[in-house]
Amino acid sequence: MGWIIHNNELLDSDFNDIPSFPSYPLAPALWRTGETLQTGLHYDLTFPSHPLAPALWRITERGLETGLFKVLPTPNQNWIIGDNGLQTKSMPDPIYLGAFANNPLLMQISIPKSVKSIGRYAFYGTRINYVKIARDCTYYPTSFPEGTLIEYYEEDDDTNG
Amino acid sequence: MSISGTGTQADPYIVDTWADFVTAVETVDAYVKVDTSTVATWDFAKMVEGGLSTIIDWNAIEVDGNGLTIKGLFGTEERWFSATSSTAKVVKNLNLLDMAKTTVTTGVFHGRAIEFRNCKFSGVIEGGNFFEPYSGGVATFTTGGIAGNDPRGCAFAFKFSGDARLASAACTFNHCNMNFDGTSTNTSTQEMKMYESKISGKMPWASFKNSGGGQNVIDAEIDTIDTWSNTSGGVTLINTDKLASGLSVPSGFTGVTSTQMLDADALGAVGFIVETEEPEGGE
Repeated sequence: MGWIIHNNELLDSDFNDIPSFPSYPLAPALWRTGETLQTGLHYDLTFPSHPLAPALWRITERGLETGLFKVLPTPNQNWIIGDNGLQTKSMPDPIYLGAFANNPLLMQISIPKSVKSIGRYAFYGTRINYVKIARDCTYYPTSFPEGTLIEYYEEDDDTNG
Repeated sequence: MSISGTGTQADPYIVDTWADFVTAVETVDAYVKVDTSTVATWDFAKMVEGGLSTIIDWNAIEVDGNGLTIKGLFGTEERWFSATSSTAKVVKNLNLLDMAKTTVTTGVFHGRAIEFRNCKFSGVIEGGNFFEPYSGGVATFTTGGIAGNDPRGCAFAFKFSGDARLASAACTFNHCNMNFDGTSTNTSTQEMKMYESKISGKMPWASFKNSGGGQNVIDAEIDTIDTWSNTSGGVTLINTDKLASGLSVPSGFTGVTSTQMLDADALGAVGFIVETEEPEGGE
């Protein structure tokens, strides 16, 4: 009975071990509300199958936030709970994101005629509004930002080819 | 299993479900014991959809959790557990871990004359209090005593935010091991009666008072010192290596370095007595 130094700690012999702090591993598959969430507003989210502190999660202007840590900074968009977890309405699954995706500084690109395939989200979320590609180059509706003007190289156009 | 037993000290109510637990706990002057032989951890989110939405009147005179852990308490009720009768109550061997007390709840426990023995608490306290007094009451967090099943004290791991406090009354912490984190904006003094207790991690409050006694340790980061006092009459150590730059040890506390805190002789020199641990496998 009394204070002891044990394993580099000054402890009382009647101490209980300190319990762990809550840990919040992200478990996107468990986030299901069927609601669309607006940033800037506060929601008390309930994730019925989330094992950890369901009431604590909120959407704030900073994104999804708990009392312990913050994730998903700032994009001023609508948030939705989808099959892949909490995501912005227009945000693709991160596993598909291209190397240039969501880079707001990228405004202009030059794609050589020799390029025959462009990834699903290669330039998604950039500020590109015009590209020129080969006629036989395959791409996805999400390869470029919505509204991007896509033109094609002429057969005899060797520019950037 | 439905409730068994008659609720007396000799024949306590035995419960093993949340619904029966609530029923038994709300029974005036009942003795309650949880049967943890099959399941020792209850996942609150899976038991109570939407969390606590009504207050639980804690009328039982003694609740023995028998090592039960209720994990992930949350709710929208203003107060979760309320023990307002003047009858002294004991809660022992019960762990409430990973709780999420949001600002809609002013207090996890509300009441008076509650003694917690050998309990563990962890989670997030977003504003308000973990313990909120009723009619001048206080809580005691202590050991089970030599005659108890387990002499160990209570342990805490809380992260505070908003204007949160551990308690809005000077509760007693006897042989308690506490780890705190976060920062509270509450400018009132967080008073604790610490007896042979320790706070590690980070002090969330800028104003703090220890009015307990004996030997205590604050081995925690301290960012701000507005009003600190130690009227315990004993020795309350502060780790000077964890004081923010520019801060000095408040009057009434005893400053030691991290190295000194692990040196029995150095501690003895400032009046903090450390027992010599028997070497493992010693002769």
